[in-house]
Amino acid sequence: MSVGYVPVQWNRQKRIYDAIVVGSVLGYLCLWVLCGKLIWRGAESISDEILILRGLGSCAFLLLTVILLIGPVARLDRRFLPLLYNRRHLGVLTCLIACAHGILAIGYYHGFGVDNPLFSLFVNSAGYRSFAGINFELFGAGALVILITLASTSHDFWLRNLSPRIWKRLHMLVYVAYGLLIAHVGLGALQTDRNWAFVFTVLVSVLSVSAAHVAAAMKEASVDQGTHAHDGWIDAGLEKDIPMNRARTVCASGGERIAIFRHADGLAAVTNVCAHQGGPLSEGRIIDGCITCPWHGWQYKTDGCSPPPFQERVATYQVRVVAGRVQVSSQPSRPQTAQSRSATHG
Amino acid sequence: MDDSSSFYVGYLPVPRPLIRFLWLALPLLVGAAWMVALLAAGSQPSPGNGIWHDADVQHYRGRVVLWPYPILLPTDHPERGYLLVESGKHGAQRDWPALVGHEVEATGRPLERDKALMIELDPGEAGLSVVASAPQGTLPAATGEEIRTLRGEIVDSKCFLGAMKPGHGKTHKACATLCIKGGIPPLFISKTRDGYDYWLICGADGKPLPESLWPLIADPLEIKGRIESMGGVRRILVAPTDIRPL
Repeated sequence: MSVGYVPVQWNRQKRIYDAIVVGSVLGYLCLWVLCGKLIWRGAESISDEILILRGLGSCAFLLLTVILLIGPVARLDRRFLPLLYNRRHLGVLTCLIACAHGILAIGYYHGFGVDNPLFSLFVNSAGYRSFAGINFELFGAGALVILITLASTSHDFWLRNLSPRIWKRLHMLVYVAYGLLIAHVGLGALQTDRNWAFVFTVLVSVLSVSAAHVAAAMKEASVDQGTHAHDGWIDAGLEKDIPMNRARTVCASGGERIAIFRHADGLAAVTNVCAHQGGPLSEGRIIDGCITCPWHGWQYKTDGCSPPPFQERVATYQVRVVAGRVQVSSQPSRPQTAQSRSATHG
Repeated sequence: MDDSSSFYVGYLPVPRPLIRFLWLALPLLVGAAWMVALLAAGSQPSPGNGIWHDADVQHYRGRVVLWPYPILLPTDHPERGYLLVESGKHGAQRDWPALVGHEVEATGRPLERDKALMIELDPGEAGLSVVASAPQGTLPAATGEEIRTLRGEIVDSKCFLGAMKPGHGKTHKACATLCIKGGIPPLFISKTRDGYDYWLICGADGKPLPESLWPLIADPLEIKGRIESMGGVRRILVAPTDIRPL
């Protein structure tokens, strides 16, 4: 949270996060190049440019796989939330590595010839006779354009100015980029070489991302199916079953998820969607009297407003307890209206 | 892990139970990624045994033939013909009709793969100059009339002989197309048990590979044509109708 814009709001954990990520990436690239040079030596050595090109490409693919895994895995096991906290830096690094791969590929494969390298990208790789022969480089170029767009707009400045809804939709393009990247790898590198380890890596990556998303979706679907509205009120179960300073989620008829928090002063219901990046508030907790988002620690008082000097707001819902059971209104209230424990105990 | 002490907020100190978990999970994650690097890098197939002596300028004397691509037949070893190219993705750009049969001195960097040889000429006259202005004797005649059917792909000779390793396959299609467009002699390569066998490929009339066939570069093909050899160089003459994409 911030009241102004700075390039990076550094803190100790972001520095540690970035140091681990950069160190891991450098280690990956060094291992890749060293191993490639040790396996094929002398007359059978692989060109340095191609070795680096392959290392950068595989590294970018793995990083994007990890980025896409972090979200659902953190939903399934919140011990992985520290990986999510600085995911944007991971995305920017992925973009930089993909750019290095792209520049090297265009320069090496398309440079030094009779055509402009960018023109060559569209003309000299062309093979449209069959799906297998299709120009795989254009898929990679498309993925790179998306990654550059996402990295360029990853700062909170764009989040605020584009609006969280549009920003979120824009950044969902990362799934399109991943799809394009799979096509790029599958129709390119995997068709050229029989590298069983890389084939296995790509398969495991794609299956892992798919399985994690399905598992997270099933977990959410189970929450959505268990809630029913009567006369505009949704039953949210027994009050005592909501852990102190934690939340339970219910789903309104329109699909809007509502997080009902139990705290020292009673109950508070807010939308499940954080105003920052749409993080699931119900998976957060109350700290210092504020609902705290699990993704980046954005905070809201129980009236839906961020504590001063911050000005973010989220929608709140009326909540009441009837015969020990919590009920929440299916329609949002206006922000800034405190919705604490109702006096309608049965 | 619902214990309140385990809730992570990025700008607050990391809860101790989470630190223990991260000390276990992060090395596993990073170790798995590094294992991928080792296994995938180690599983790359051999790029072949082509060598580009790009720091070793050599001088050669011999006669030039166009077959249909420029080849230097050394005076001392006329059975070891060298394909001639320029730097970058460019074939040798010289006044070849005026040079055919003349004794020349070529200066450049050699490439070799198995028994195939090539010289990347130095730019301008430093790369190729006429030593004896009159044609010297008769040029060797091509031998062999064997008709063969081959499976493989069209590549550019410079990359395949060692300028780029590996210099074949779909990922190399754009580069091979650029090279052949630029005048580098094309090869047809066919996989064998031990590596590759390869021939210069040209039209059925003995002229350079027709431009209409460039889109087929690097695609899996079956071709049928006449094989000839001259000065240690082999070529296959193929009509477009005898090329079948696989």
